Amino acid sequence: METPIISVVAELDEHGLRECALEIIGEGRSLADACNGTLTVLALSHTTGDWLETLRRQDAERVVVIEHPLLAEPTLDIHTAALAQWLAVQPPALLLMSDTVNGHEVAARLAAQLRWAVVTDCLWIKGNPQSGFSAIKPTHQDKVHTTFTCPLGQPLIATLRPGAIGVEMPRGSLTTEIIRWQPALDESLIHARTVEVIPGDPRHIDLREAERIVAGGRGVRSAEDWHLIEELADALDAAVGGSRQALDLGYIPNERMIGQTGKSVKPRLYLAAGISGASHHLDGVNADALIAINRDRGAPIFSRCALGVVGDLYEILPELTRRIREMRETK
Amino acid sequence: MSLNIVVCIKQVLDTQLPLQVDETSQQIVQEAAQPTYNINPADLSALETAMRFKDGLGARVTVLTLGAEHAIDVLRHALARGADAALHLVSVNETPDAWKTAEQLTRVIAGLGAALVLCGDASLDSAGGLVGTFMAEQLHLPLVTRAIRLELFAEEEKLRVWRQLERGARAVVECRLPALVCVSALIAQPKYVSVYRLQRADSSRIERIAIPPVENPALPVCMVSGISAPRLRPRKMSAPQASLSAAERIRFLMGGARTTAKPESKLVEGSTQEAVERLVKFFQERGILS
Repeated sequence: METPIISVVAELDEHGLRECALEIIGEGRSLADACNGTLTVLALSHTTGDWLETLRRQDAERVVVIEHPLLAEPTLDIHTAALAQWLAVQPPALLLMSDTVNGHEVAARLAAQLRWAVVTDCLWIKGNPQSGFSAIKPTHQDKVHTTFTCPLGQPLIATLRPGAIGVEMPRGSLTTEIIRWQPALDESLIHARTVEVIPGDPRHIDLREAERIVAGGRGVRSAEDWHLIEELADALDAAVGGSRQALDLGYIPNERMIGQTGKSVKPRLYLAAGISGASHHLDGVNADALIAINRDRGAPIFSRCALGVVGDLYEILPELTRRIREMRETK
Repeated sequence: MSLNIVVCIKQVLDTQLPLQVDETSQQIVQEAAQPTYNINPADLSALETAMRFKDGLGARVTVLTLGAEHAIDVLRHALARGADAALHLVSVNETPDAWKTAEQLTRVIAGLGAALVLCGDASLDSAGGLVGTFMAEQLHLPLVTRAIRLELFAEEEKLRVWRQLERGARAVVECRLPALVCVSALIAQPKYVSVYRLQRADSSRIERIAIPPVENPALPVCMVSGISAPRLRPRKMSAPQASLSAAERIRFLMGGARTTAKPESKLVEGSTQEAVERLVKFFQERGILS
């Protein structure tokens, strides 16, 4: 009998591989192991980058880089066509994608074009190609979990909710073969063209969506001084947040509070000024890079940060803001 | 030439009210004596968007729904909101499925000469977010989903749509008309509907169309095999580093493996100037300031 293939689409963005891509690669690996199959990771790009090295280190038998200059455009017609062409060459038993905005739409379009079964926004995929897959997805505003039984012997497309599975460390025991493949794409495939992508304005977006956050706490002595935090955030294109202390003192509105009883945030950069770092606050912070500025050398935040500065924020913040503005202006 | 807009709406179980899952009978139980149904919020956004084009461009708006007898209530609601015509598609659909639903809707929509087909991007109940995409495929129309703002250029037969992406980003998409747009629930700013209009809608005519079921859907159907109360699956996490102390390892696991005590955490003490230099260097290393 043929070895079943599980395929996974690894989503890339301007920073490289998205975390949700690693999640579904891990999920694809366990599903492939369960049916003695192989795992193929698909990546769409117009150019190569560091992400290829990351993909090589994952536990996949194959990485297929689908390359075409037109893929530089964020137009979904093109991305769907490129994937559809590869999937016609090598149809998998199961295609996993992340249920991101674009992942969801491309999955639905692929299903429609290829006439494959599809379940979106799943939490769990169980089973194997021999006995059939079943998928569990939340419905009714996440108040109900519905189980779908997928048709046997037919390819299935499933999208998985980002963040629901978690990322495991790759075992790194496999040698990964890298295949570069050129689809046949042209302008005539475009029906709805993405002409512009506007990045979010950090001053208005939800903190949970923010890439960078500058947060302040009790160390800011009065509401009149809060502009120090705001100005630094502005210079860094970051969103403003605060601890419970900042909320209680009236520096920030309710929706800007970070921590156990506020928002849980996941930025790439988190700069905490004048926040001691009680667990109630830090439980809500999961940052790639955490920077702390505090006068108290013994503040608990210093044991959790990538870079800690012992000093007075009233001296450091204005100087830092000035330096950053200077650097950005000279460019 | 008048501009025809078709809006597909769906009646959903009101999920704002407390819901319970009876796992023995496989039924969703609402605490209220009678199940409460409502118009799907994303579909209401689509309807309100169409109404804006009616006010601004004089478009003619037709609403349609596919559903049981009581689904007629959402059509009456849409008429009260200003829709010009309402069609109730009645079918004996034994298993609701996105592809079949789309096919039944497009059979009617194909004959309506619509310049723009609008629908919500996902329903509150089944939440598949597929029907719009499938309809676009069946009608061979350009598709834009997650729309939060639309601009229609009737003379140039062009449409510009703002899509909602992650992290607050927006994408601007342009396409020709006719097109199909799935509207996000975010933009629903429903207007107040007067009692007079509601009463008048009660007596308006709603055309009823019997739709034969789709016997052999081109796309294989995933059957619902059961429902249950939500049970979260355990998240995978990396194993804690062996070099950490037992207490640290426990904290690592209890904290969702999110953070570790970083022994390499760097502490800078010194003058303001030194601190700023160190911070700027850190930003540069991480590509935050290039």
